[in-house]
Amino acid sequence: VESGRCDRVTTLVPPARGSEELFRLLVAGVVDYAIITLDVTGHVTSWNPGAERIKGWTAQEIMGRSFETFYQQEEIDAGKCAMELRECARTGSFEDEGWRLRADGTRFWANVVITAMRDPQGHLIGFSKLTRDMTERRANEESVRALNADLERRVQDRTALLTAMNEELESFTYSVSHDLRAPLRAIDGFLSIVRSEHADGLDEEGTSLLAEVSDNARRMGRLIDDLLEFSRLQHTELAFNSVRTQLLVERLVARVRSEQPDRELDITIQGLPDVRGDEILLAQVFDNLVRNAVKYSRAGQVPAIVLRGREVVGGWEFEVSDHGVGFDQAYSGKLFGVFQRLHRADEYEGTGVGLAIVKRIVTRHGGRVWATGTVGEGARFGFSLSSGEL
Amino acid sequence: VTPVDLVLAEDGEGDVRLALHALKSAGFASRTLVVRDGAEALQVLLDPDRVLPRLVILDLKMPKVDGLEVLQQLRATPRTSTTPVVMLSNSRQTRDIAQAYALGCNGYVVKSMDFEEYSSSMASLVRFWLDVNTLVGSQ
Repeated sequence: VESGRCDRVTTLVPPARGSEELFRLLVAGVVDYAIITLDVTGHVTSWNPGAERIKGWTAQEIMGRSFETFYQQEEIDAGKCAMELRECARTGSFEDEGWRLRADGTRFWANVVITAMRDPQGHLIGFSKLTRDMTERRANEESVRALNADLERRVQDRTALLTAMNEELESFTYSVSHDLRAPLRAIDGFLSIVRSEHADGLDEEGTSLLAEVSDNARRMGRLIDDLLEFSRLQHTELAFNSVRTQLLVERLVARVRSEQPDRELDITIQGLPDVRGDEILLAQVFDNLVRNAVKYSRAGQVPAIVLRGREVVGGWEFEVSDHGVGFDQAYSGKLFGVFQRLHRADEYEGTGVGLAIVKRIVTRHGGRVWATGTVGEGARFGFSLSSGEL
Repeated sequence: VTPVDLVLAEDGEGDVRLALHALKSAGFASRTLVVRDGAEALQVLLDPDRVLPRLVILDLKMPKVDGLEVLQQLRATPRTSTTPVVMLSNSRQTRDIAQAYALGCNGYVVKSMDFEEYSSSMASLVRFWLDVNTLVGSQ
């Protein structure tokens, strides 16, 4: 507590003979501090204008009265005043902060330093007492504290609200998964029975229409699954680990090749870095991007796909580029939305959730996604990951 | 009351019909009693005058008393505490599966959306508990 200022006061006493007048003038000029002296029993022996301004008594009114006058009754009863002087006489000085009384009975928050004064022989001759009015500063501190507490409370309220909303969403998702699956399975099941056991009663048109119904039911099933997957991603805890993306992508590419052994694929992996992230989720990001690149290749052409990755300031960046059908850059904003598709369902299989899943995973890794493309020339999908060290 | 080998608790109209179709294809329909909610399942299974089935299949989500509650009560009753119970569910959520096993089910089957798959999993499930398991037990 501003020890420098206190030290300065302690060196003021006792005044050497001759400089006494100078000292008196100095003290008399101070209005921001109450500077008073007390005799050994705590009665006021001098009173500066600062004291009058802060405490409200004139020198005439207060001289000779006990400094207990400035304290609240409970404190006096508890022996606080006597303790302060005793402690000060023992150690040389005493410092305190607390409520003190003014002449009109109002309170102010005071910072008080009492210093023992001794004669050259070392006998106690009284005390000097320096008091500052800290009420305003205390009020400011309290209002800052109150504001912080209020902010804290509002953050907690908001967090509780969001948690409740998340739980509600989760239970909604859960019931969607349960309730929508059952009728879908029934549709698929009854269709299957009709087609296997009642085929004789159907003409070619009827059979074809039922196949159409069946396709749509299956497609809806995939949509529900994808939507649930997308929704689940928001709640899954990320398991951060070191991920060797080169290895991860090599395995993925091997898998994609083995699934379409008759198809020629030209996939180049250009030295991908090790990153920190959730391996399973990052695998899904690469999976979606690579499969997209394969899917949207131009008819009759061997898909040519290049994967690049590098370390950048604060994280890593990856890009998957192809020479496929591409897309109109004007619609690039729609690419990462849920159920947004730039191609008709009968042109390319898909539910329109894959890139939304990519974006959600990347966002949860503190990164961002981007896409550039030209119709008929190819597309380039990129994403960044944060190392969390910036 | 004619004894049955299998009690199937399933509430959905469509689900019941499909389940029975699947069981019929596998040759088990005549040995099956279908109940339409958890309360009815408990009524049948906790009736001391009835012969216990050799397998109980419970849909997880049913009106009134759900599958997990039925399971819990069966396990708490000495007479049914070891009766084989397999849960049948649309949910592949870890918490549902874990909860079912914690309450003492003998199996948990996720209903496939694909009817062929659903049929064959029902058939093999029932075949295991009613035929294979019985053979092993009698040896």
